[in-house]
Amino acid sequence: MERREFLRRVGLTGLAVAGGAGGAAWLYDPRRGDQYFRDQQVSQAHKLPSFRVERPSGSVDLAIARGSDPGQLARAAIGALGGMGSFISKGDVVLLKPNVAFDRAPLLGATTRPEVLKAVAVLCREAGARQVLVADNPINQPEGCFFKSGLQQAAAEVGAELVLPRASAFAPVEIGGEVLGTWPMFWEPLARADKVIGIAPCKDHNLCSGSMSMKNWYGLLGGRRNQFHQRIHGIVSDFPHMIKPTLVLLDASRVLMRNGPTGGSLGDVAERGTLIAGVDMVAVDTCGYTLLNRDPARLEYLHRAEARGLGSTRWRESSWREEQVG
Amino acid sequence: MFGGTGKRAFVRTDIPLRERLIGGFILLLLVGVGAGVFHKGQHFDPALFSLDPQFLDAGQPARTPAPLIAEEGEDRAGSRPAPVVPLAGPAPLPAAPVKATPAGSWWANLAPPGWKPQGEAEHFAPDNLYVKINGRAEQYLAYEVAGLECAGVVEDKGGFIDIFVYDMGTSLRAYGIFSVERPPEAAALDLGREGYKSGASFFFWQGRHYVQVVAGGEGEVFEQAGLLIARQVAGRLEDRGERIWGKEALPAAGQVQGSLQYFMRDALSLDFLGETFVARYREGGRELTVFLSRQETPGAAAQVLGKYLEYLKGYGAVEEGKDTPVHLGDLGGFYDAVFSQGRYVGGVSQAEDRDLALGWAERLAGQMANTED
Amino acid sequence: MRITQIRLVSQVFFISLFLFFCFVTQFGYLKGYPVSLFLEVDPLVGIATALTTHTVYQNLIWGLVLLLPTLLLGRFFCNWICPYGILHQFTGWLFNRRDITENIESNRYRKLYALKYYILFGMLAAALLGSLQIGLLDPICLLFRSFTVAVLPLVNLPTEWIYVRPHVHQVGWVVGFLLLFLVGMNIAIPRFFCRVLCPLGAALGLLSRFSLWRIHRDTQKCVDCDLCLQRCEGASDPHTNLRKSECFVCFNCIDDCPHDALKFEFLPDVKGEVSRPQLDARRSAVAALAGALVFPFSRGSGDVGKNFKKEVVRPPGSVAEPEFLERCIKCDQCIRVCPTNVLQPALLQSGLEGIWTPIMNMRTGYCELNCTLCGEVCPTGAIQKISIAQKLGLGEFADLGTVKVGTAFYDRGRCLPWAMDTPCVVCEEVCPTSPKAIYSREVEITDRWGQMVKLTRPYVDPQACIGCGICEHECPVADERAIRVTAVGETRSKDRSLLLSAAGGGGCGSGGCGCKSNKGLMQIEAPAQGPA
Repeated sequence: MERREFLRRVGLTGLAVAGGAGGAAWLYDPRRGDQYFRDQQVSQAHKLPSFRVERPSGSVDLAIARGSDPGQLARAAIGALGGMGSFISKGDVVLLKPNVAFDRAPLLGATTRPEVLKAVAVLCREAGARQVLVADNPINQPEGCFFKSGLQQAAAEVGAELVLPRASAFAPVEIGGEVLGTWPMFWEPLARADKVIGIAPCKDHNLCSGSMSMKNWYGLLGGRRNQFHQRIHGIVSDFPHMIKPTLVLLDASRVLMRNGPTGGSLGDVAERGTLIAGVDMVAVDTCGYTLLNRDPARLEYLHRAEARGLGSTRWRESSWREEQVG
Repeated sequence: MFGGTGKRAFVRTDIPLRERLIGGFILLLLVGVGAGVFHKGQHFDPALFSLDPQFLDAGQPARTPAPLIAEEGEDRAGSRPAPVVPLAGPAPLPAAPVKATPAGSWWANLAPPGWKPQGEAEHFAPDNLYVKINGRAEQYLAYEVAGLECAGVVEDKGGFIDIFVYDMGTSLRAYGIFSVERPPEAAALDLGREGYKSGASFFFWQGRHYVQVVAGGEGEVFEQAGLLIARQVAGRLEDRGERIWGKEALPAAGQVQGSLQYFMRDALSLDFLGETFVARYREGGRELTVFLSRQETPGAAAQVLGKYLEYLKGYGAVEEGKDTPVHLGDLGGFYDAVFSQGRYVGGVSQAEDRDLALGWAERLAGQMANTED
Repeated sequence: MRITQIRLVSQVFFISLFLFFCFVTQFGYLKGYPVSLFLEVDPLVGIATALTTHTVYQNLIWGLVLLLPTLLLGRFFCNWICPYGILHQFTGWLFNRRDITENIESNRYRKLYALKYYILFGMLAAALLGSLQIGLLDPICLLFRSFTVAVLPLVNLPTEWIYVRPHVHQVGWVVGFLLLFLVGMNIAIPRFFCRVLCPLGAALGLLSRFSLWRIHRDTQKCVDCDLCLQRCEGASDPHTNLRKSECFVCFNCIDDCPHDALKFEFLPDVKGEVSRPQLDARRSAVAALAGALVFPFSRGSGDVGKNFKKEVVRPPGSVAEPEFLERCIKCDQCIRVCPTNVLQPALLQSGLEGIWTPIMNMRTGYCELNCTLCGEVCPTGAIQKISIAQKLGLGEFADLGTVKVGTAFYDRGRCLPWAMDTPCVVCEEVCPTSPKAIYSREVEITDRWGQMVKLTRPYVDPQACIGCGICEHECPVADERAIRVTAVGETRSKDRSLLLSAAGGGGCGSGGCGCKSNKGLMQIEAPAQGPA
């Protein structure tokens, strides 16, 4: 046999041997059972940055607007807080997080009102935002919810991008709360956003009594979030720890007084003509809870959150303003 | 691997004209089908994809559930406060409003000069109230409304004024609903037994009725006509001079104008506190919420006090009064001072100043001790 | 342009249209597109449902658009329009490795090709007695079903183009592999499904005997080279006497004849053709008998009447079960359009006749309250087109009441607050009716450690429950839900009502007499299957 032929054949076989051995060595996993499971928990979880803005001392932290036009209420409340410009910088990507959990018409008070979303989106653009995103992970079907609540059209009208909760948009996030550890969240819009604004309706809730700006963040959770109802006040009080939004709005222009959170009948809805905006979601919810004709002293998750230092129920002691609109 | 028809023996090249024409015709047919599909796609009924809002206007707030049935004990100071809903009977059927009888009624000849009556006056019973006022019916039902009569007037340019006269059954309940609808900063008016103006609309209570004269617009024309109408209606509604006990019982000095309210149930959002008057008081730059409840018997009052104390214990520490009937609850920065005297339960709620609260409650307790009731 | 090139354009057009309809049958894209168009012009659907229901339902009248031209021109549908036929032809072309002689041999007529007629007779006999089974093998139904259940989920896996939340379909692998098999068989026998199995092809073939045009061979010019068989799609023997019932009017033979001996002629001599398919009378009779026995044998098994299965929760707007089985063609368009993935193709839950008909599985989804898309796309009226207002019993439909598809029942041995001292009530939270059909009562219990615990325990109000199943879907006891919806209390069937008031509706309330209520198609009941 010729040398060249010899080298070729031995070389090829040698490569095959080396490749097999090397590949096996590279993929080798020596971990024992306990180490394997420990590693699983720490894998690739993201962390949420804070979306809060530094504000000059003496800024108004909570604003209550009263009147009949919800869009104007939103403008007035944000204006009273110092204007959207004190929150949004030029070129920001802003995520608006409405409550679109159910496929209800806007009149039924179970979802965020399109007029309020539009007003906030327009304000963001006026303050120089580069892009406005609208996202939520509904309980009912996403396409149907966004359409029937009028928010799909509202987003289109103001040029906002609707981000739908596709499977690939979720990623595990390390939260480290009382109830929430590391959990799959609707990560894509959060990763893209520089600022986050929550826009929640004010609703009765059969389990935790009030679904307002804190409960609104439930819509960012993925996975099997139907287990948290076993510790509902724990998880709602986890939300101000989980996310530090730039701003929250509690739209109580139309309030779902009972049969919440789904509603379903006009008789469940009352016109309350109020909108509350603020940077502390605990304060905003304390203020808004009275519009359900209930006493915030009895709402457990507010006090839990306060006890953990995540907000204050004593909004009256902070710097707040009330505006009458129209 | 992919063969296909490249291996044909013969390929026909001579295509007769007729074949070409038919081919062209078929292509046109295909274009037609495509255009038809596209056209059909763009024209559709939006009600297919979401509920037609007109069906929401029909409104179905039928059954209102009773508050939670507790199986053991009545203490509800947990994480589920009772929603404020009235106890209602079986689901009412939507019914057309019954035409009211004319002549001798408050709506006869109501239209001021330049206005004329709009349609017939309507009457609604409690169980079809929502047909007229939708979700707001709940509030009136909470005060046991007996009926609603409404009429309207309209002027040439199309502006209208609606008048709603609610029969609340007693003066106390009429006062109650009046007081909870009244905005705190409303300008008081000498109208009916008590009234106020809001924009171009007028609200007052008289006898056992609560009246709203609601303008369909703003401005001088509406205000003048509205006031005229309101005074006329007030003049026609009977008032037997029933006294409102809470107005007399609670001191007038320091009371914030327009803050006194009467709750038949769930005063201060507490489900055990009914038949209660609540008012805001201003003293030395601080504001205070004072309440006074009148129960059926002294025993019942003692029970309410007991429940109040249970509630306070759930949130903080309670100092039982030793030589004073007042008990003080410390809720970590807020104080409730509460007492019972005879049939009355009263006190101060959510005050920031401990001494102020205590003092107020003691004064009030002393006052009620001297009341013969 | 030669006619075969026009045909190719037509094929591309119609397969694209079909794929477009498949993609667009979904909330958000549907708009007003006539996605059932292929099913509506399919004359077999119209004929079979006419046999079972004695009516031609709404748009099925469009079947005439195909029926009448077939009577004139023959089985052009199979090669010009049918998307399944196009798929088979394309697959056969793509993987063709035969030379000319082998091609010719593969396209000769075989006795096996008579099988589709026997299948057709069996299915029509079944239809005559009231059991609609054409959907099992009708090409449009089969293809749409395969796309819904197997192909589109496959496409969605890497791309996420189809669904926002991925859909699953039970035992979809059977449909998927069946499609693969049928399409793959084109490698062995060209147009295997079309020639051997297709009942629609058989029906059109039978009708072709009246056609006034056909491929005609000029015996003077013909030299018996058999080259016309190279690409003959129908295996219709154009080289001898044309079998009209097999010819797909593909015109390939005309293109391939080097001596210009073949033409598409008007009223040529009947001696040059085989007008009717060659069928064996005995085999036809056996097939018809087998088909006819489907109805008594399967109804005798009780799945439709006395022994109905609780899992058979049908979509809202469905007609009563016996009539449902007379109408459902198993096209699975409803399953495709359903936004929540609750509709699943049944296996044997509703009996032999109900294979691949839609039933609800509350684990994969739930019935969205403000949605009636399933009824909108159903071409045969198995699910009636009802408006959302009618579904919810609003406005003018208030006296008819809400449409209920079932009732929810608590499994108190699994429910967290009932059995495990743990708070929950997600079910009450998501219940969409107002007032909610799930209500709760608070209890105070002493837990095992001696602590007083307040629990909220849920109950179902059967009057208000519509059976939508979102409670079951959201229940955290994921393996077997602590609240489950079953097919009792459905408004479409008096036999399966739960409460007296619901069963009454102006009638006697027992349901046993089978009297028709005056409230429209949905509540018309076939004679009761069991004793009163």
